[in-house]
Amino acid sequence: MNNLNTRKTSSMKARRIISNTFIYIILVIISIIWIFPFVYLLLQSFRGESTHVVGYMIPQKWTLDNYKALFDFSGQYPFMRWYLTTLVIALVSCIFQTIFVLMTSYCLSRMRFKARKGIMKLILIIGMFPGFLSMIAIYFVIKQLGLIGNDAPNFGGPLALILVYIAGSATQYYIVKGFFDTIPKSLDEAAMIDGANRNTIFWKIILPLSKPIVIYTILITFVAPWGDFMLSSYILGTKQSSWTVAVGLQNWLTGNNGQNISKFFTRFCSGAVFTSIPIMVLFFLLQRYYVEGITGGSVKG
Amino acid sequence: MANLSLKHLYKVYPNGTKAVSDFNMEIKDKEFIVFVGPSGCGKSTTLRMIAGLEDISAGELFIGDTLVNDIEPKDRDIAMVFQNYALYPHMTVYDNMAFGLKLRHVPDAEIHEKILWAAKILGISDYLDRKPKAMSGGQRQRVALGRAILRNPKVFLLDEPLSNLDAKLRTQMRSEISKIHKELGTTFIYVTHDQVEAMTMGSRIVVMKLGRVQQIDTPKNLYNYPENKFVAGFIGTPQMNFFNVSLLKEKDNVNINFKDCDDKLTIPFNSLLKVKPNYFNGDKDVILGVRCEHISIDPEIVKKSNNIIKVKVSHFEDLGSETLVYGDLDMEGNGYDESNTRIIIKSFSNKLELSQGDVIAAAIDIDHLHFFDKETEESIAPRLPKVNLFDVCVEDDVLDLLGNKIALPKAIRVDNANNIEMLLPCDAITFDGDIEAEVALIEEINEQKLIHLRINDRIFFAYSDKEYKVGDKVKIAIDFARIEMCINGKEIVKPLEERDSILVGFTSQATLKSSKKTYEKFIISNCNKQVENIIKEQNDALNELKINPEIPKILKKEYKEKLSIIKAEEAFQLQKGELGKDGKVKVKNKAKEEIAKATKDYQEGMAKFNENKNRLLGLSNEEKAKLDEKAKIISVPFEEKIHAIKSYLEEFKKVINNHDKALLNESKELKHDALTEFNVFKEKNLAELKEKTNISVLEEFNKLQGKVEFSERQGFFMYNGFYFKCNESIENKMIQALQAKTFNSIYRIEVNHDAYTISNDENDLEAVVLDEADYGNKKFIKCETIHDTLYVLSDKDYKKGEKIRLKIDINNCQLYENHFDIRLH
Repeated sequence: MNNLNTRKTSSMKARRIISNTFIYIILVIISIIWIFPFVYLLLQSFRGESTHVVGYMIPQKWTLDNYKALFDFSGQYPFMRWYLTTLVIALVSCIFQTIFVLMTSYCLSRMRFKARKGIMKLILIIGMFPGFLSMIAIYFVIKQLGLIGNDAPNFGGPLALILVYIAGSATQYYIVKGFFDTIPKSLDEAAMIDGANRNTIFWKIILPLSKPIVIYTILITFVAPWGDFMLSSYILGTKQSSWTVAVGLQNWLTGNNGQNISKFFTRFCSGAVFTSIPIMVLFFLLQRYYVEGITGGSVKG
Repeated sequence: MANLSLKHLYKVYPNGTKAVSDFNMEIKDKEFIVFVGPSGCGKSTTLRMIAGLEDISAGELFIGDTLVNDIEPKDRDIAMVFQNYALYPHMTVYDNMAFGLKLRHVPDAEIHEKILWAAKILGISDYLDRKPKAMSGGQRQRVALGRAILRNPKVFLLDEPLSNLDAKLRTQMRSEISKIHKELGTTFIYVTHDQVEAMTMGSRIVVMKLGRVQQIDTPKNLYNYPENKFVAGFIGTPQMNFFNVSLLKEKDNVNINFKDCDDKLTIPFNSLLKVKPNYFNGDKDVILGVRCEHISIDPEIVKKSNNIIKVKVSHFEDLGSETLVYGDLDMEGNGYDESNTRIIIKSFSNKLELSQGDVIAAAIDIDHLHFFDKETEESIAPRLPKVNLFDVCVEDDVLDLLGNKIALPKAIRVDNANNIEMLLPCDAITFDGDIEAEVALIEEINEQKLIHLRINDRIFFAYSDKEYKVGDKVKIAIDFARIEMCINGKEIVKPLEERDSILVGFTSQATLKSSKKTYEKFIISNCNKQVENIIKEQNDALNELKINPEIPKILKKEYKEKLSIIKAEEAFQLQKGELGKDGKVKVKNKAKEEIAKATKDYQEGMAKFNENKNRLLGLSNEEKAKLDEKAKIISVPFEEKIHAIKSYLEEFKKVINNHDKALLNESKELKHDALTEFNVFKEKNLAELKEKTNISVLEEFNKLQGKVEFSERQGFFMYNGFYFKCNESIENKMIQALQAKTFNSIYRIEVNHDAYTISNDENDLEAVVLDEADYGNKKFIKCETIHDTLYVLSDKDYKKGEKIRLKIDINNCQLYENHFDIRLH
């Protein structure tokens, strides 16, 4: 009997080892596929012997020139200017979007008013349409506002982008509302009896309890404008001084009737690496909360 | 530190469910009130309405002397403890407690002092810098209590605070809460579903079920005098035993016969004085309730007792100091199911040697029996009886009541009979008449004085505020308007309804259209229905005289309607889904039977019509002419009635169309008057108002300002095309009611008979005098409007058919929302 048991456990152990090995092999393959483009980009950004696309990965001559060239505030391709413009756009819209998303979600989670459910469904459905459907309309609205076009000021394009991003922020209420729903309502009620109004409850009770979801919202609302290409290329057009990073980098690959790529490929690679730094930093700093924010959410009263 | 007054509180949810119905209570200062009931009975909802976390659908809530219906929770000066503690997890205990005070801008030093005081009382001084996460359930609940007591509120609300704690902690916290109540001397309202908590802590307990209050009383009275079966079963563990019995009076004793077994008990009649006599004839179903501690199987007690029942023992629950013995009165029963014969006995002796299946004798303590009506489940011997039942006889309009001859008033006409049962409400007996009676006993129950009166050895009950002594001879009188008489269960004299009820619409400047339209529709459909009924009556009357070609059509229509109703009902029953196979077959069979019956009725009707037709066709011309003549004469009153209704309807439509204009003019006038008065006063007292020192002037100024505001939204009730103003407090209630979207806009006004004044004003309600109703000490005029019959209290004589004008004093009425039957005023 005893013998049988040991045999059973040993066979189970063996099976587990086999299946684990199998799983890890698959994971390793997948991660190589995922990491490869980035490693390629990183290696190419240090290449010094030529600037066009080559058929090998490891550079023959290592250099930092590609990075030095990025620190250019004026000239035809002022990368640093793009970089700062993008940072400003992303930061400003991130702050406003976060506030709006949180407030919308709190309203939809806690307040009961006519058409609440209708509004929720409407926003959800509108949020499902791809953004480019409304692009032409947005373009003309902004043109009417005088933010783009020939006579528009230099800051017009970025300001227009900030406005567009912020205007659509409420569509992201869903996950945050789900989180707020898990915070017991009796906390609100207790605070209400303690003498707090809605405003106090939101800032002093609900927000401190919602750190994970606040951070999640900050991440999402920062990353989206940071990497947005389609809307910004459309709105910023050919005014190179007010381009965002995504538009500029794309121009290095395809601009000048496709001739830019041979001139700027390595610089594109270094630019791409440089662009990914803030997001990586942000992500590593907030990663702990980020995971918790999506999966967790249960707050004990 | 305040008393609370809950007046006709209702909570109706948008889907139409009534969570709380007609909650009435006066809570005195420093009381510990416990709301108890099964889950979903509305106790928490009531508490949340008091807290202000839930809107009040109808009714008034006073804390102290202020009406708080529209006051925010934070301004009601209450504190609440929640079931899940509701501590702020990101704050320390100290901050949790300080939060409320900081929001109220209390100085830091004072906050600190108060927190230390509260922490000391609750024994949490060592944990002040901890976060709630690091504390146990009991400690958290203490913090929640501390947070609440800090503010020194008027009322302390606790919503099942102990149900998340384990049994030992719960007992400990229970006494702690009682201690806090004693120390603070504040009014406590405590919600729980645990009757042990309720019994041990409450100074008064409110038992609730399905949104309705079942009984409000002290724990002891709830245990000793439950008013209905629900309260009896809910209070006390284990549950009270209930058996089906019937009562039979034999001389001075009453026999209690068990329905489901052969046992019998005998109790003296004296202990059942308050029971209505008609329960003693042996055929009315009564439920007997006995608590398990009032049944004994101790051999010595059994030996002495005369009231023994036989019990088959099924199993035991040993609780250490006592043993619960489960058994069955029915020798075939198993004692496990909650049946009508299952019995639980509490035995305090440990020496009993019983085994399963033993048949033992149990003695019942006859001083602690409870009796309930099987249908209504109300106690048949309430502590405060409502009606007396007498056997009387009437001869030549003279009533023989226990040997006293009393002339009946004109309004009551009864044929001679000697087997009449007369129901006389206890409060319809007054002490200012000429019937002699003797005071047999005086009981004071819940601040009411119940007086036992005796005439010819028959005891009956009345209420009075005056001081009497036992043995006093008193002279009583009867309010004949309120008596009811029956012969063999058939009603021959109806009591006059306490109030007339009329259906009205409501409009105010704000809601001019919505309410008006509903009321208009209602009136029109009502009139059409009346016309339909009259036509039907007319057809019935003419059937014998004339061939009505419409009849087959009508019969067929009725038949079809009946079928569709039966089918709809069947589908509804089947759809319920809880029937099972047998149930479904039953429902189907029932429907089939009903269809067969309807078909038979239809065929019979048709046959009758054909027979009649043939008979009439066979008549000679002369006879036909005669019948035609007769038919014409019979038709006249019907035609007149129909005409009256139709012309009323036309008139009503006209009035309604002019209504807006009239209303507008009326409110313009009101507004103008109020404004002039306001302005005159303002100019006169301008100097004093500027200084704002003369309080009486300021008060008057505010009052007038309120009057102007009210005149801008003055509301009117509409009845039959007449309208009458409502005052400010009713107006406010109406606006509150109109906010509840579930209410339809038809309201019912129940008018006291003395709320009418007869006037000559053309704008007042028109009514036609039908008759007089003379009840001796009171005289009413019975009059009729197009929809209702009204009884107007008046001394004057009016002729039949005379038209009078009535003013209704809306303050002297009760106001209801008609659809949900919600009392608004």
